[in-house]
Amino acid sequence: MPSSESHDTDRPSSPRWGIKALERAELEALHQATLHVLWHAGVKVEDPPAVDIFEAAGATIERRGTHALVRLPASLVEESIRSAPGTFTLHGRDPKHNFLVRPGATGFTAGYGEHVMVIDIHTGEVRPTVKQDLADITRIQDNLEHVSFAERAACSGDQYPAVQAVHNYDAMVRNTSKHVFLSAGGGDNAKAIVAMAEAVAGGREKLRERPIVTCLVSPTSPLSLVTECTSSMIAAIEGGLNVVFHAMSLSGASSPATPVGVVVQHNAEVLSALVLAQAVRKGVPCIPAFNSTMMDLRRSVAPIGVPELALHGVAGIQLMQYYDLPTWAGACASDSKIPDAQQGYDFTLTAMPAALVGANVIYGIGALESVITFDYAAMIMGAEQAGRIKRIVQGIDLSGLDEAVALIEEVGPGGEYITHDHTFAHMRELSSSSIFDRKARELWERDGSKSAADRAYVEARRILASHEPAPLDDGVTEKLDAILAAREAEARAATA
Amino acid sequence: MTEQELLSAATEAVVAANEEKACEVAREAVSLGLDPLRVINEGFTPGMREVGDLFERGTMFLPEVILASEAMVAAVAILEESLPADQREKTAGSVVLGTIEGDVHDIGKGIVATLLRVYGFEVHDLGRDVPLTSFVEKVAETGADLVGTSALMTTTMVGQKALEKMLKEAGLRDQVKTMVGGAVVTQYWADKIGADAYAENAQEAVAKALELAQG
Ligand code: B12
Repeated sequence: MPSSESHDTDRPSSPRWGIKALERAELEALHQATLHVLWHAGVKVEDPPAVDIFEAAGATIERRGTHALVRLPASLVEESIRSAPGTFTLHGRDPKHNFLVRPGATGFTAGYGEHVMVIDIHTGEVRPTVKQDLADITRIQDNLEHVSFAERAACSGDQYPAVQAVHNYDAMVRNTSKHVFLSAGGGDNAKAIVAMAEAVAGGREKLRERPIVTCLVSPTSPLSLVTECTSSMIAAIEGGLNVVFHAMSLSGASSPATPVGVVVQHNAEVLSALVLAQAVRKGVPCIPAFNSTMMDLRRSVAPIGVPELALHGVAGIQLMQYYDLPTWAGACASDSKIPDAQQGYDFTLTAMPAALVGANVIYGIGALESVITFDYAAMIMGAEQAGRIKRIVQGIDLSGLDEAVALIEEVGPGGEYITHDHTFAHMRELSSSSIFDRKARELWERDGSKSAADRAYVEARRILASHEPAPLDDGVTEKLDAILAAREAEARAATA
Repeated sequence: MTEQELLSAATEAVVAANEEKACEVAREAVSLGLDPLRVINEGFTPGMREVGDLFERGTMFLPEVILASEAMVAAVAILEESLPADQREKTAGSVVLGTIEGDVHDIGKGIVATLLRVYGFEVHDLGRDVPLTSFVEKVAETGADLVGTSALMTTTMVGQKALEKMLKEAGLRDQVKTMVGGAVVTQYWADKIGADAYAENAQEAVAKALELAQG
């Protein structure tokens, strides 16, 4: 339940458990392979302003009509890696939600991108999402203890298409004081989102000091940076925001059918975006995201709750750690259509490795059906599971060793611990549960023999009915309305 | 080899996606003086039908389907050399295909294009992020039977609706059938905008395209 504590996973003193999948020499080999790809295969870039920035930074350019082939020399790539910080703060609108990104800090968030369908929280009907859904999901994210920041989990599908992204920010910033992640859908929308964030933060300089929103952009596999991606990125960075590189190849369709090939190509894609970002503003915090999954070449679908997602993610995140860069893992998502047993298995299949490898941001809570549909019960259960996973990653605190030995000796064979002071001092550190059932069967039956998902829907409705997010400062909502209206009018005029 | 044995060998070569073998069988049929049309219709085509069934049932991989169709195409080309031009297999129809402007999701569209080609369609794939006017121009230029559009985003599916209108305004809507698809698109949406067909996946897209092209 809500707490005002810091949302960092671990105190610096506590040990951290993890996966060390790849050796240093293996990481170096993957790095060299990536540099080879970035030079010999190159990257396709569409938008002339982005091409010019690459050129000025030292890339080799071949202009080919509608796009340019950009080749990145190793020195430029490595210099860009060095100039991007590994430690920085993701600011909340309310500073109590600040999250310090640094090695060992892990936070979860709900939504695997922008879901277009939702299982209605009241009727159970599967239907397209509207702006109010994003407002509701965000309000619940604001309340959940184990959700450290709010990713835009649904699209404002009832709003004017060209400016849905701006409506998304509007719905989110009014409903959470946590840090917000979302994509912009092009430079003009990104500028409007920056203007809204400035209004919320208290001005241009305030936003630059405390960027409260991060822009998500997607390199397109294989090895392409499309105009929407680069124009959003440039406008966001110029406006003072940080960026996430959200590449997502499908192994066997848009990337090789082997994990090693996927990791190298994905790394090349996020590093190409990193080079551009650092050329726009040296030192801008960039979070490379690892979301590459697979193509099921027998069913022609893109499943997400698969071992491949975790394999690609663990390797990619270790590479980023080798570079001292922050990390983001796509995880938690299921291909099930309902919050059932498969959904739970799929969640942990990918969330656990992502946490153990030390991803700074793990997203995907609540995602069903190949990340098309969002579900409230999956979100509530997922947030509780995130807390349990974070506990494992914290590991065992060995500083209590001597005390424990003395205690065991004192209690001795055949004794008991329930009444001991030591138990009293530490019992609150033991895990507890809210949605997940631990009751005796009779009590569970008396409470209606409900499934975890049933209880989770009830909890989601309770939060929606009772939680009030921190209000915006006086006069801010009017400014948001005005910026949104102006951007929408501009977009309507442009398409008319 | 008896004729029956040869027909089974043709079927097997396609199912095994073995282009070399398929061509060998085709050359053998020519040298034996067998009726090329019969070898196509009773030897190679049943192979491709079986491949389609295996794919539908999830036992065959898409790349195998593509290889199988390449084997079939190569063998048929050999057989058709000994056919008069008017008896050669005609295409199942022609399709203009692309992902709507503003949308870069093109993996599903690519699969639809591939399968349509496998089933004998001539496909003009315009790629992704395709301006609506390009669809209209391509339809006018090629006189295609069908135009298929893919949209994976709520922000781009509106383009499918706009295209219906533009095709009407260009006076082309009566001569071309429209097909829509992509993750966010539904039968309901297709009905609402007046598209001729919607398909949930690539196999269904082929079935609907065949229906539309014949109808
Ligand atoms: C892979 C992917 C990407 C890749 C695309 C790479 C590429 N070259 O295509 C990348 C990473 C670049 C990407 C980018 C973005 N994406 Co994306 N992406 C996906 C994802 C996960 C899978 C799509 C896919 O390829 N599926 C596999 C193929 C085989 O399936 P399919 O496309 O549906 O095609 C089948 C059928 O639909 C049908 N079909 C398809 N086309 C046609 C056409 C006709 C005529 C017919 C008859 C049938 C038909 O047959 C196909 C084969 O069976 C989807 C979620 C999903 N499950 O759909 C999100 C998704 C579509 N993306 C989404 C979003 C939000 C984005 C981004 C904004 C980034 C982000 N997440 O914030 C950008 C936007 C880019 C842009 N402007 O287009 C949202 C959509 C939101 C919305 N408002 O509509 C989705 C739903 C995911 C999510 N939860 O965020 N994405």
